[in-house]
Amino acid sequence: MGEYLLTLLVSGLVTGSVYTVTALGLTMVYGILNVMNFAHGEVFMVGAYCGYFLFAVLGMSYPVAILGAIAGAAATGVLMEAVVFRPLRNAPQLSPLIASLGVSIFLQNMALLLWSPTPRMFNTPFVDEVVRIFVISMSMQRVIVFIVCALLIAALYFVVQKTALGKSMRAVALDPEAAALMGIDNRRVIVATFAIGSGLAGVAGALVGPILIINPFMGIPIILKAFAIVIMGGFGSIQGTVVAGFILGLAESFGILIIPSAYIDTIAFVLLIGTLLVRPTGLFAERLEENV
Amino acid sequence: MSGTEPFRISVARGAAWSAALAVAVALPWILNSNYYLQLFILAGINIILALGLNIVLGFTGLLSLGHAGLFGVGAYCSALLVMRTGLSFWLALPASAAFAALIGGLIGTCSLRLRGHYLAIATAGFGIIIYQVFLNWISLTKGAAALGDIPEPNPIVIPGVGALTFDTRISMYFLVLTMTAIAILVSGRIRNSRIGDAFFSIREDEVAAEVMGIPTFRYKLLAFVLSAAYAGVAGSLYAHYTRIIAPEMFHLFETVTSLVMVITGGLGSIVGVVVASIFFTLMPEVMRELNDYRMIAYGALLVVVMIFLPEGLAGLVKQRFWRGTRAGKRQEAARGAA
Repeated sequence: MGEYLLTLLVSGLVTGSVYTVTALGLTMVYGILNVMNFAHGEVFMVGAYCGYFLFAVLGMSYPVAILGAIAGAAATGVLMEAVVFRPLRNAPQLSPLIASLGVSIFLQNMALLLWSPTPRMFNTPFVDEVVRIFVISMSMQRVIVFIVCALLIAALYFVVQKTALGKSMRAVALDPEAAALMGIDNRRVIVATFAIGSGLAGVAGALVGPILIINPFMGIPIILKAFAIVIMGGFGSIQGTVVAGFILGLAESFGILIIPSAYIDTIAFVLLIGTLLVRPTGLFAERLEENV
Repeated sequence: MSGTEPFRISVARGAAWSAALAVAVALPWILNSNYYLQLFILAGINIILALGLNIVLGFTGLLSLGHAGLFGVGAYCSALLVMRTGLSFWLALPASAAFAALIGGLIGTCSLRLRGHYLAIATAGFGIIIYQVFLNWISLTKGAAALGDIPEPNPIVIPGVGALTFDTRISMYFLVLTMTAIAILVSGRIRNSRIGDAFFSIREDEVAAEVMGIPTFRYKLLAFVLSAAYAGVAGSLYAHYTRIIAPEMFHLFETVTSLVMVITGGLGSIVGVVVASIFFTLMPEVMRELNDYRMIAYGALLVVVMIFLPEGLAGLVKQRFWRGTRAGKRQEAARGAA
């Protein structure tokens, strides 16, 4: 039993790390633009396909495939920003939301057309390699997923807190006009935010490729959970997102003990609603939301 | 709102609605095609659904993403009542509206303390939970295998005249048309009532509304309940028209369709919502020739509409025509002065 619980703990941490990395991109974009970007799930999907094509089809090494996924996803995000979100900068709040849903539908069906609905799997050499940690054994791929995600989370935290770019991001999030007056190029900061946030989703996609099945609609469940995480954590709060991401991963993992596995996907929303009932601004709200 | 608009415009508005109704009644003979008639039946159901969302989003300014779930609640409730208990459709219809309203009220009670995007995601969460229940409560809903063999609405027996049956497309069309007309009328009544005024004041400025003595929570809850009742009616009609329902039809992403209709129509505008609902029901079918490119084009169209028509059709019409009229100029001037 103790071993089983430990296995659940580890698998919860692995899932949680993937959720967190994906949700961080959403948090960043929300923090800076106040936009709920539903197409972020499709960026994750693009990352997974990039990883698949580079690794399984073109036969490149796994790290190169991951870098390729970052590049592909970041390019998708930057393009999306330029074509869709920039023209909507001063539009009513609902417009970018609906437009992002449009982008989401567009990208899903584009992927369907280009890459067919056939589900794809790719196996890295690490999937079959079993490592033993204390008393539990697990596949090396999961260990890699967790380590890479943890490093990315730490790196992002460092970038946002310590670098000049991070400072300008926080400034733009706080008050875009004042930031512009201080000589910050808002447009550049926004593009950088989209690139970093989308790149994160791309890595997540490429990392879980060998664990999940890749198909054009794989972004939908992920984006919905990512939103639940972002809101649970308090919109725009990076710490909150990290905490909520891991809470969700662990809750889903341990949830198996209590509820039928068919209902596991509802845990995110039950947690979300529960959190909001107790703390309407999320766990780590940095500011109260304005009236819409 | 019609209370403040000139008599001339009220008359024009009434005439336009009557003309639209006349066209709608003559439509089966104009189209003379079962295929297109079926599209208009779906358009009618979509109008009811979108008008419901319009009460929450358009009138009251609350973004609710759980609407498709409530649509499903209406559909499953009605179908199961008729199939399991043998209840007449004519009782199941109001019962499913009431049940959807109850669920909508529960969701509202839990989530209406939240605002803006928080409310949107919380209601989306409820929508997903409802969807998961449809999918997994297999003994009740048959899950992903779909609930089929839903009977058509029971015939209405008029003594001395005969029975009015609903086994043809045309009869279903008139049933849906009647319900749609009622939905439009009720929607207009709500908008022009004191309740409507309260809704709009919450949309414009919730804090100010509260200060003016409007119990905002109660009114927001009322908007949720009314909107859910609309979704329930639409769901019931849908179930007994298509006669087969599956959880996929009520997934969160189906809310997007209604959302697009309300926003493209112009938030709060009933005519706009009706026109946009018809457009967005017919358009994917018209684009059928594009085959694989259809949904790609649909996604792109949403983006284009958002960029070029941010205030929807109603906004466009207002910009083009309303501003030209004397009343429009007066309103502009008043707004400028304020």
